[in-house]
Amino acid sequence: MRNSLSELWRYRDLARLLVAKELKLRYRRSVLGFAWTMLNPLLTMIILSAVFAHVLRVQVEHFPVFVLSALLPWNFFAQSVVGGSLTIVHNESLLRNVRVPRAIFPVALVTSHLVNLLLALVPLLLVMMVLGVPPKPGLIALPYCLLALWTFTTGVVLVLSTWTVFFRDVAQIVEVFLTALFYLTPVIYPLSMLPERTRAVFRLNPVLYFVEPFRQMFYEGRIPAATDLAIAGGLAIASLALGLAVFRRREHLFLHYLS
Amino acid sequence: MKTASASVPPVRVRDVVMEFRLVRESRLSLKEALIRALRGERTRPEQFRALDGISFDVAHGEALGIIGANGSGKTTTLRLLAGVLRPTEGSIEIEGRVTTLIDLGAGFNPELSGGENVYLAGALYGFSQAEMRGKFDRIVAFAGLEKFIDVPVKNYSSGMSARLGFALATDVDPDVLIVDEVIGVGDAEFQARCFDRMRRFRESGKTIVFVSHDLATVRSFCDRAILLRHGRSIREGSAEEVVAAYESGLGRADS
Repeated sequence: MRNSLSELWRYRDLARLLVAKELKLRYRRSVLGFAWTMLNPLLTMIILSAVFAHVLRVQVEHFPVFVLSALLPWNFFAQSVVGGSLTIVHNESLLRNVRVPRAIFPVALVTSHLVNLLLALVPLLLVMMVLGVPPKPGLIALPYCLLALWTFTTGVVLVLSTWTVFFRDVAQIVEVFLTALFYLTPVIYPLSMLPERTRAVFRLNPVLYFVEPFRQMFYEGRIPAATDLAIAGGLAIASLALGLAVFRRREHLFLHYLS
Repeated sequence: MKTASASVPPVRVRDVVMEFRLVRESRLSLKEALIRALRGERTRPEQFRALDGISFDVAHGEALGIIGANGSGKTTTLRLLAGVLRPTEGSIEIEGRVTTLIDLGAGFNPELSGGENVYLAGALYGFSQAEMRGKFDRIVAFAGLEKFIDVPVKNYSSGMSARLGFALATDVDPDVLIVDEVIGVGDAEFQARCFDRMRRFRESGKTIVFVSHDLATVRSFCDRAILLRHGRSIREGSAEEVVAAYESGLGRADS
């Protein structure tokens, strides 16, 4: 693991350019450019708020902040996984011709989504101001939570980008799986809504430990429980170690299967 | 060991075997793989030997040509030298920085401008941004693309992207340069400048491996050549002699 990481570090200029490339290409064609990163979650938030607070009459105070604070980390995870699974397949022509640490492509893609997440925190803070939910010192845990989220997601993406090379239906399976996972993760409903026993089952979902802290920091205004943060850290490191192990064991075969 | 490095050839290929799995249809789906696994079927993929035990050295300042019919193993040899494939058996040792000129333009991102691609490609070759800033103007000038450097590469002609690719790959100053037939894309004047640059390259002690169907170029540019057929080296010697053997019919796919 240390070897892979130090090799990636040597190519950090390449990683930075790949991240910049992702961001540029994502927004070059759109009139609104980077503003889109901020508008998109706001629009989703408005729709969800309209549906849940006004149509279904869910009783949650400051529903927009409640939903947006969990939606942003979830979107980061989901978009990284969908896009990241395809990074090896999409960069085939480069992999065929240039010798670079191959893991740099999935890592750069996840990182470009992290930049998006950071930008999307700006409208979240704006909504909080407007609705009178002031940011609290609980946000001190934010860097840790972002790092854990990035690490966990990168591990998952490394595994999926490897499998996508060998099995052509991974992308479709991932999509279905993410839809199910979205409802299994407390994003549009509070975890406290669930009965005690169900809650214990839902706590087996690792993604919960990366989404819930954001809601606790931004919406509830408190530092997430130390045990939850420790679990998130452990899961993140395990995920990255597994991801790198799977990737390294298979990467020399990529070109045999890409054609 | 440092004193010996002048005499030790920088490229050493020993008994290299490269096998690929024959993937007949498109890739398996995960669903099919699971069903087969549950039924206890183990599919053993058929192997295809692209290279069957080849060995060669390339010395400092030497240009080696690799020729052969389609499917003889030229491209596989190139990719092994570039380090993107790992040999099934045997060993490949290369000293110094290797730069590949395969499939130029394929590596460029069509949506990015020529200039953005230069920086990206430089980073792919392992250079820092600071190093690339020092090379940038020279690369653009050699490619003759000063006016078009901010235009997306998708609007380039194939000649323009090949020129940019060549300018890039030779300016990164590799110790070993691997060239596929890419130079043919440019016009006569550009080709002449390419060969001029490659000649100076060789004179400064750098090593060149040249893979081509263009027998005239191999004959005039390379010192030595290898003729491949079905993944084996069937003739090795001076470029003149090996090209002549190939022209007389040796190593053709149907021979």
